[in-house]
Amino acid sequence: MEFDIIAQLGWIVIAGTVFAYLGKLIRMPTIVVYIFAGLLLGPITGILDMDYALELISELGIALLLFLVGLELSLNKIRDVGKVALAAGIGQVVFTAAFGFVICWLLGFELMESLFLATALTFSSTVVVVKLLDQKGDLDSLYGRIAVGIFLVQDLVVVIFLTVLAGLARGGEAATMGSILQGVGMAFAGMILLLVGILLAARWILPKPFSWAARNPDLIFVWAIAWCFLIVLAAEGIGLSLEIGAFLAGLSLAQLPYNDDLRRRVHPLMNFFIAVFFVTLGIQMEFGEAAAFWKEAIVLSVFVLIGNPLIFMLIITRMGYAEKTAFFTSVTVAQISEFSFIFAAMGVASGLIGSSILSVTALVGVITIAVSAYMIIYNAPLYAFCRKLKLLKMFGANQVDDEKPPEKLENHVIVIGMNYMGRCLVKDIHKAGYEVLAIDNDPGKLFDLPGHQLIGNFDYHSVQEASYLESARLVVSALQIEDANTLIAYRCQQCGVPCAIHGFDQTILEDLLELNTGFILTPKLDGMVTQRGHLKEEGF
Amino acid sequence: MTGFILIILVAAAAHGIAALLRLPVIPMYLLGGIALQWVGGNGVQPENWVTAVELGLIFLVFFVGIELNPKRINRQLNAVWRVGLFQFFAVGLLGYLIAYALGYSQIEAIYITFALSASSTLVVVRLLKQRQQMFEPYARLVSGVLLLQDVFIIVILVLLLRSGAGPEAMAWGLGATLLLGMLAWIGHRWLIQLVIVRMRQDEETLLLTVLTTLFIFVGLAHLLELPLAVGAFMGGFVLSAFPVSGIVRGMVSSLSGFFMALFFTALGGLIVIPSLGMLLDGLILGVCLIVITVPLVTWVAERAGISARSAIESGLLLSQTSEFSLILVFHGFLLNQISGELFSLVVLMTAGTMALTPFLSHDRVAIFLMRLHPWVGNRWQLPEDLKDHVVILGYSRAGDYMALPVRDAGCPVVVVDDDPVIVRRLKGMDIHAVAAEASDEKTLKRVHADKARLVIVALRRFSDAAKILKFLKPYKVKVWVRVFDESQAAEIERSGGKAIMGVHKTIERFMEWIKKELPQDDKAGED
Repeated sequence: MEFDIIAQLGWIVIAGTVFAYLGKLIRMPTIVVYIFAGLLLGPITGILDMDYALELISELGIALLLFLVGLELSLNKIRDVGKVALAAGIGQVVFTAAFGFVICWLLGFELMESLFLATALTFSSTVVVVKLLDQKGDLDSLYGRIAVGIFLVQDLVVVIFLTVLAGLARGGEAATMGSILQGVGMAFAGMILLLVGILLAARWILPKPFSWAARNPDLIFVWAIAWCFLIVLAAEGIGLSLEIGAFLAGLSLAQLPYNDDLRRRVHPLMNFFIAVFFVTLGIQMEFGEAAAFWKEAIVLSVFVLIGNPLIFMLIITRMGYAEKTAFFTSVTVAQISEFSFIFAAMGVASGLIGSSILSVTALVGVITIAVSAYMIIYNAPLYAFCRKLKLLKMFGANQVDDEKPPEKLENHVIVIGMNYMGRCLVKDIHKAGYEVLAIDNDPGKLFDLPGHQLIGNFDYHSVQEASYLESARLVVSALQIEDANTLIAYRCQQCGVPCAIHGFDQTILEDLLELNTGFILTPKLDGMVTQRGHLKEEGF
Repeated sequence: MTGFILIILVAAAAHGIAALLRLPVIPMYLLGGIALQWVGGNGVQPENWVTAVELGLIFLVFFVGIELNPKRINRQLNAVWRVGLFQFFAVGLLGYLIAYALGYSQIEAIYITFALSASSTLVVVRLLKQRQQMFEPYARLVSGVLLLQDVFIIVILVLLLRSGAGPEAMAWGLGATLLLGMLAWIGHRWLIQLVIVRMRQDEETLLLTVLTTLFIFVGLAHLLELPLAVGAFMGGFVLSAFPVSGIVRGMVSSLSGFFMALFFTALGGLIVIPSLGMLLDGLILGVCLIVITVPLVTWVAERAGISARSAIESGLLLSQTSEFSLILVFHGFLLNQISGELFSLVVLMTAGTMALTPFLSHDRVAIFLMRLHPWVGNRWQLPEDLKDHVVILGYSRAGDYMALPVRDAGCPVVVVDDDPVIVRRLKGMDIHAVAAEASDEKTLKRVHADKARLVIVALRRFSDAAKILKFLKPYKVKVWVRVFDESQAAEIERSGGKAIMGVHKTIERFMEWIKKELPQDDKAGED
């Protein structure tokens, strides 16, 4: 059996895990440790080289990540931030490219090299930022939505740049302005076509079949993945990036009532593939002559780390957003993108620039991705620090926060499993004055119940988080699934939350008692006792 | 990427069709792969099929390993050993004889033997979970048998793949497997508990830890020159103990769904259609497997103390070939020990027997087979003048709780149950018992249910209770029926019976407990 792909994945996963454990000691964001793991496996030791299969897995990771982002954001949420995303996205591209070009030129790079470097500095990494926002649980926040909007605008700009570059690289007759404009026009037309198609599908095609599939969690999961890749294929077919395709696929499913459950199911798969993506990003880094250009790389990195956020602060505060929102959004763009490497590599391949530019881009990439990851993860303390130093006063921004913190459930009773007993329990607990949260896989079973409802499988860590397990007053399981019930009892024991579990069979009672279950629901036994009582009345 | 996307799209369509037709999804994936290869095979490069199968295989075997917690079978160890060993070798021997008779070579017959020996953990565990029957005694027996068979087939895989290199290589392979098994056991008992349970990690690190366990064992298997699937299985076994298996289950189920779709669809894409003669051979082997497994398992399980119903249900559930059969022939095919045609034959046979499992393991089939049980033929010996007695229809686990006080009060009791093993036990307890279909009018007449003082109904199917009530309505006999929800209770009351339901009593006790333990001042819900 072919061991190559499995060995490659093995190296990547094991190195990623070891680095993740080490990174925890110094609170290093996981994407940074993945890139370092890749640097170790690739440029430093040469153990691994990039091949087709790894490239494919990386692409799957990116697609799933953007699909998740789409699932998280409904069309309304995107529409809210459309204006600011468009203005900031385009404004930043123009300003960064202009300033970047001047800096590069001042640093002594030639005209074409300065042009390429400035363009490479312009793009921020959608994947890096979205992964970090997802990790922080901030994708749905206002600043998260603005950032995602900006990155999507930038992705479209990337498509245009790549179209132009491909035209330039072909040279000769093919490189006429007309052919380039035609390519750009095709990209825009494709985008509009796909968007309209997606909107129609979301409204007319998807709801019925997905509603049918929702009763079978495995089926809806496979269908969602297939839908994602189908749209990715369509996007690539009309010359758009896979990021845009995957995002739109997610967006079309975000309108469905079970999008949260889908997101939770896709999440582990994305985590696996995206870890591979970041490690392979490290593997692909080509530093070559980077050591000779370390000073230039540091200057350019500082420009990206500070200059980019400054440009954003200026644009976003001018559009009336609060200082905090503007700051949080601005720090998300303080890095260059994986597209920058592709862009530089294309320039080298076409003979327009030397390989040293690719090395400088790689060095700037590693520095800015690593530092900006810290900036995003620790954006709140960084904001407090900048306010303390009164660095943000010059923007004259609104000081009132744009959004209220999300509501959190506390002291509630969680009831899992909406069979007959579960539904009765929810109604009686609510009637007794407790705040109750009902959880089930099947949306149909949650219908018509009082209190709060959550669609999902409690086995998932993210469902436990979404149910605010740790602040619950009591957890009740009406499920008839042994493994699920013992796990619920175990989780409750870990969190110090009392629980009542359905002891549907005597074989599981021992385990439940060992796990300190507060109350065991025994309808079968109670049925027998009731029947025995009736027998006594009959004289037996 | 297009090839990969095509595989996923076909898998999604196959899954949808399986859900629509209520078939197991694995054979549909295989058929989807075959269809894709025929219709749009050019869209998928040959190396894509193989890469998808290889990747999927590792993950699939890993997930099978996670499903199998040996603790779950502790209570039925004796029965598990007997049934597991007997089924594996007896069905295998039969497979060998048939294959030999059909003219297959020695090595081909051996592959067929072991392809038939084991049953499918993925199909059976999934089915039991869907039916919420994992806690039933027969489900524990079946889980144990599957674990045992998976271990056997892992060892067989090692031996078979080294058979060409002589006995020394086979012995070395066995030793290496044992070593890996010991490491897995150490991980299962101690190490993984320390890493996952004590170090409470976030979801991402947890996922990485789970996958690292997989790849460490796969790497060790590679170093020990064992098939990678052996390492993957051992890696899964490391994570199978509670609470580790529970903690990782959520994230693993997503990965498992994805890789299962990938593996089986891609495997279907590797199939070459066998000749008509070979297809006939496959049919013979498949039919023999089903026809032999059920009585064999029933016979052994009954002798190990399992009730007839559970024994028959176990036999029906185990009558299919396993995902390990596919892995076995896939390796044999890659090593050129068997032809592409034979590989395809086993894949198709596996698809067929897996597809039949939900139908075969249906209640109705078990009930039908109970009627063929040799002990059912034993004639009933009931007193002719029976009246004012208590009839218990269906001797569930609560049976003793009902029958003994009535017997002790000096009132005659007649139990009707379709399980002859239970009936035999009751006769030893001085209780009149008959093995028959309880809802059958003839049975009801012969036990004089119409003259009874009380009839207690505790049957699995609610529709049976309705039939019984209809029969007894003219005789004004008191009928109590065990029910599980209010709609059933209302129907019973309408038909003149008395519904016995424990749920409300439980909820009442629970509400008393919650009000006492967690008093609530706020009565928001009341308005």
